[in-house]
Amino acid sequence: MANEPNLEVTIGGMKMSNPVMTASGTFGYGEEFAQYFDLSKLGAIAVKGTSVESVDGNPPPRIAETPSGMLNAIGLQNVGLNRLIDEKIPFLSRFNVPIVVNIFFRNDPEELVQLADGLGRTEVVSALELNISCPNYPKGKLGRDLVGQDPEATFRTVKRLREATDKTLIVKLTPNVTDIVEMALAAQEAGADALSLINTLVGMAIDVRTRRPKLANVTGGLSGPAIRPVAVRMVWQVAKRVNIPLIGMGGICSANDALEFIIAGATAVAVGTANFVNPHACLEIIDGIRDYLIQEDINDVNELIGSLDT
Amino acid sequence: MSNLVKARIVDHTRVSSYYRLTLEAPELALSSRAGQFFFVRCGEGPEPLLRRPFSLHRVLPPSQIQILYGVVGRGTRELSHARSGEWLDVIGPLGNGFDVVAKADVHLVVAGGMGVAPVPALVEAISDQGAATGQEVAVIVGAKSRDQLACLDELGSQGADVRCITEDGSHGLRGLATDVARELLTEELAPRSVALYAIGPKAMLAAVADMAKGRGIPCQVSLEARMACGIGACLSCVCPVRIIAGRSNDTEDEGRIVYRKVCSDGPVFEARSVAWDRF
Repeated sequence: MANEPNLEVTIGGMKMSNPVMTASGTFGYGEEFAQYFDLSKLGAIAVKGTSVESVDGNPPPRIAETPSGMLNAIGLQNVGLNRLIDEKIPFLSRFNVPIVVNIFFRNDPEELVQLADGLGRTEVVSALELNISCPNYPKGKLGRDLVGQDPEATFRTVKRLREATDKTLIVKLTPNVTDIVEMALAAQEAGADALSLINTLVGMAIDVRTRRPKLANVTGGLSGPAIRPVAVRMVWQVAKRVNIPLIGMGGICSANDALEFIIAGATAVAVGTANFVNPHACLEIIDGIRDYLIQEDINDVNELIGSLDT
Repeated sequence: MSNLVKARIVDHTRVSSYYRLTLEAPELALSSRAGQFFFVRCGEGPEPLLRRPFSLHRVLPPSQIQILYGVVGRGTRELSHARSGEWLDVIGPLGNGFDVVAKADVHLVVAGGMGVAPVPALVEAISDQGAATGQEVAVIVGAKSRDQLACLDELGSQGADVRCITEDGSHGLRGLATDVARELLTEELAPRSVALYAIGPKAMLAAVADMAKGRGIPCQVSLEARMACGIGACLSCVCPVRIIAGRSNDTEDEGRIVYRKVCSDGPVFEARSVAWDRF
């Protein structure tokens, strides 16, 4: 009988029992999924994007299904920092799984310092995932597009947060750029411990009968299997140029999909849209990765990272 | 508590222009209430990607549930090809369901189009509660045309007083379900205490909500929305709701508009709480 392969991976200071985590915004605060499986089996849990103050989000309709994917424009609806800490984190802390809190600022980058301070006092939070890449980002005082679309702004923002936190700092990158490597290098130089890629691709869909957009917000973020080849390509490109670990995401539905990302260079993977379709998706992917390693006679998942043979 | 199950199709038949699906699913039959829904995968693989929500049509004790649906797009078209003996991937029951009003002389259910789907389960729930005390059930079924009417005999045999109306006059009166509701509330039912329940298109729900408000009648509406997860995680299916006095927790102010999830806070809402002007 084959030995049980090692599935443990490390992202900065965060040790994961396996490389599979949930993607922010697709798993709520974990409560909804706890009735379907034991959350302690996950490698990590990334919770809904959080800001200092609560956000109501965009008017409906907020989603539209598209070929092998979906568009969303939720608008970063969230309960805000205090309610996250008081009401949501205590539940998640029961599972002995690293918690990643996705954070963003609305008007002023200094809000990130407030978030880092608040979450810094919460020991069960292992990592902060800085969101500079949501296409449904509320337009702030900065009066320009996403921080994640400008390497200098990315550097400055990551650096400010780096100075404010000792926790593992993950930066989530947008694919809506000409050269994602440039953004990855800026984040690395500013002190990021790891990178998440990719966030959603900006898209839109139109109801031709009414000639109205299918989303009230007009545009939204495309996710699901439709974007997977783009995500795999970007992980591969970035992995060749940075020396910090990557968390790969974009349309992962099966172990096979997850393995593509790992072979391309991701240390861990995040499952997003697939959670909506199949609440057991993460568990099935963890089991499938283990089965693959046994079949391929690989003792340690770390041996597979970036093992692409071109 | 909901379940993620494989349910075997025991029957799949056409009912007027709709389909009625009967599933062997003991866990679901035991725990489902009128107004709750099931979230069903309509195909294998990524097309169509998302599950589709279907309300409980009826429970057939001890172990079966029924869904009544119309073909409106990719998901339902795919589902319509499923055959008896095949298995469906179902999550349910989801959502809150109707809360049958305890004291009413007459329970009036207004159903428009496909909105008739959950009515047999609702009538059953009302009868279970109200039969002993002589409470009556009336159901108004409205549709565009006669081929889009369903369940009339079934509802009649459940003891409901059924009135039907079509927009083209091909069956029953000519007009809208709300025309019948308005007339009943103004005349026949004016002296009696009424509880309203409405399921159907948004414009119909808003009109019924307005009638209820004007007359101070309790009214519950079942809302529909595009949803991705069905369990309250993705925040896709929200509707605007006004905070009502006495119901708010301390972080929310009365009258303020907030988004509530159709899947897990609903799909049944008190009509007076929905911000119809913003919806």
